[in-house]
Amino acid sequence: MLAKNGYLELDEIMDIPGYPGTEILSQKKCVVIECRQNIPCNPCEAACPHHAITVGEPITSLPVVDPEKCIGCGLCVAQCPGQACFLVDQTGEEYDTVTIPYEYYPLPKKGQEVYGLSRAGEYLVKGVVVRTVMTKKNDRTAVVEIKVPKGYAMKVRGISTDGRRTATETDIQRPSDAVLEQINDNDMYVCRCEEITKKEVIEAVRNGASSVNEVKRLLRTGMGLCQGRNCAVTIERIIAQELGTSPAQVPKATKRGPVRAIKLSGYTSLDIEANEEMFEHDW
Amino acid sequence: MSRIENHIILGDLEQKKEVQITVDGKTISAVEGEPILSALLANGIKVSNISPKHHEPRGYFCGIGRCTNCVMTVNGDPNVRTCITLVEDGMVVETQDGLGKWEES
Amino acid sequence: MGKEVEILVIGAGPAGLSAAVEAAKYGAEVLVVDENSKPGGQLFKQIHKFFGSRRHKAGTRGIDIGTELLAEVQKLGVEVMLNTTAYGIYPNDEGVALAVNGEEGVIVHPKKVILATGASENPLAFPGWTLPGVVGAGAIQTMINVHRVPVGKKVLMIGSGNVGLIVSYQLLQSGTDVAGIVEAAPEIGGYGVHSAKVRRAGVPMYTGHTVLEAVSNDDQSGIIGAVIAKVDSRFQPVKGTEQFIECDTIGIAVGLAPDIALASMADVVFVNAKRLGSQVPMHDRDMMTTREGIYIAGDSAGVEEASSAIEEGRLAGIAAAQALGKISREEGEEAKANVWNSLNQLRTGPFGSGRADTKEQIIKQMEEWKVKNHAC
Repeated sequence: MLAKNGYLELDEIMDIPGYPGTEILSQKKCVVIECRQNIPCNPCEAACPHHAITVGEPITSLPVVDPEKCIGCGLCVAQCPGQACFLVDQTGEEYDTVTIPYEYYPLPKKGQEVYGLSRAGEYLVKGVVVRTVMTKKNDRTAVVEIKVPKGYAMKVRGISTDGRRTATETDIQRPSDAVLEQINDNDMYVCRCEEITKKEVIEAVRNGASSVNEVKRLLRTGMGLCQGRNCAVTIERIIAQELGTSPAQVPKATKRGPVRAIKLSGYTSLDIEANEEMFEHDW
Repeated sequence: MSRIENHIILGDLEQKKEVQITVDGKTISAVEGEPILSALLANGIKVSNISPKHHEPRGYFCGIGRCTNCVMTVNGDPNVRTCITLVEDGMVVETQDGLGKWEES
Repeated sequence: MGKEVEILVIGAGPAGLSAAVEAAKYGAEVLVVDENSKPGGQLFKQIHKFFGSRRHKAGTRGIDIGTELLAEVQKLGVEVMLNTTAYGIYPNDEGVALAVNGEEGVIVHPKKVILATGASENPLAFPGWTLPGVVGAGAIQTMINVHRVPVGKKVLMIGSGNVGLIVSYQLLQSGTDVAGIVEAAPEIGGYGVHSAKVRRAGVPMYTGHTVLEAVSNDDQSGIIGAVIAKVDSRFQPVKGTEQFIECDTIGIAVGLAPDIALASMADVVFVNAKRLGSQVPMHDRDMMTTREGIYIAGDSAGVEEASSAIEEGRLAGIAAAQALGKISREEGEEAKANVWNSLNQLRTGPFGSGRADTKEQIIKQMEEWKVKNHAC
């Protein structure tokens, strides 16, 4: 499933309007747009000079492929920011071809043998590069067409030129019990600069601190160089957990200048005079 | 020195003027206009300072001048954020021990 | 007595630069300050193609959008002070304090202030997170895409939001291996198209898992891996499911929070908007906060993405120019309505509509606040 695994299963592709249909795909080379999340995006529509792709209004509509109009040119393949457009050609007797967007160095060359990878990055089958298109209009996204054995055009979605980077089943490495035993959340630093641990913050809260400022006064959290940029959120969370409330309810730390680390001369060289009416002005 | 030489989007690495900086007494090459931190990383140096209380090595964290984890002593000034301070030829960079000290002047 | 300027924009990222462009276009005198040595904020790390429509420059890479924005700023002659940290904003006539190169103080007295300070990465504390090699995902992106140095050989990413997914992809592009992506939630947080890109490149996805520890090397100068485990429905690690993942770098990508330090100093009223990354300054449809003349835009007004930040910056820029009388009310309203149309488009769909609702609530609360405080 896309949301859980991060890639579309075939059945998640076959019911979207970017899929031209199994029958059409057996008859002609055509684009398959593997886009099903309604994100606000439409460059594919403008990319197609033959008006074979329609997004329309609202801009979050899924792209609709009109297979009648698609000539399999591949202009959309490079233009789609999500790299979701692929050309599938299953009309050949001997082999299929699939055209994919490719943005890695080095580019595969015509005739080069490559590793054909599935949507999950698993090595499926060897393929041979038919063409690599890298025009100015593609803006550094190469369009690579590869020959794959029959039946693989809807399966291969990535390539590896050296076979090194592929998803491989590896044994899960279990950490030793000794390693697991010494992992202790409470000993971790919360405040990196002053080196204050979670345990110390919990103690401070149990001793009555209920805001980031109060924890700071007890422990110096947030008083180091970074001025609380790295710890405030974690401290809010710990306070909330201890007091059974939500982090949003925990009073925030006061923000004062200088909001960035500067040298004191940043103050002393200012051309100003002390003013009694501070805080009375309305911006 | 380790750099990302070829990149499909960014193109081949431009040849830029090199400068030399010293890190804990050792001279390393850096590229003009880059922050100290990237020169250190290109030379495989990941530790910026030793934490004041528990004396543990620390390295960069945010890379944009906010977290202060990458501070080192630079030309005698402690607490210099190496991620946003650009290299200069002849710069002397030292792993900072704890809160650092100002050089006697 | 310091520097006088009509509009001070703090932050030269997508929001700040867009605000400056709009305001300058209408004839306002604008000064942009940024603490970094280069403008563009985080845009120059974004080497992927953006989503959206043509109006939002969809299909264009972030780096190129950044270059275009900079060219516009230059063409309009907007002054941009780099290496300049706005470290304090003070009420009264004291203005905004800047530090040039971190040491030379300058006071600016702007008529209007646009805060476009962006966001900071959320930390995630776990045992070993202070070891060298455990870093923010943004830091990885800066190193590999801007400075072109590898951060390690094998990176484990914590967090499957768009940042975690995109940075994982960019690591692969830089020639670095990705050991996996760990996500505590049962489902992936970011766009499916982003996760599909890394999955088909062989990156394992550990949804429903959490990181228990970064495992140190012998002398604590780095890490050799991480221990992760499955979590139950209450996000507690399940005993017996622990596994060791080998890696020399761990990237933390567990969301962003608006950088609100200056807004807080300016004493604006905040709203709790979890979906936009914790506390967000209350603002109206002109992006003005509860402090007259102080505007906020981009991630500092609620974390979204660069395209929305650009649009919000435009709104603030137009509104500030209008408030200064640079354009007529009609012209201003029309320009803002245009931007709102574009912004609304970006805030649609299953990922965007929640942000749209939250923004509407913030604006509604601001209207109520105005009534209560007799402002208009």
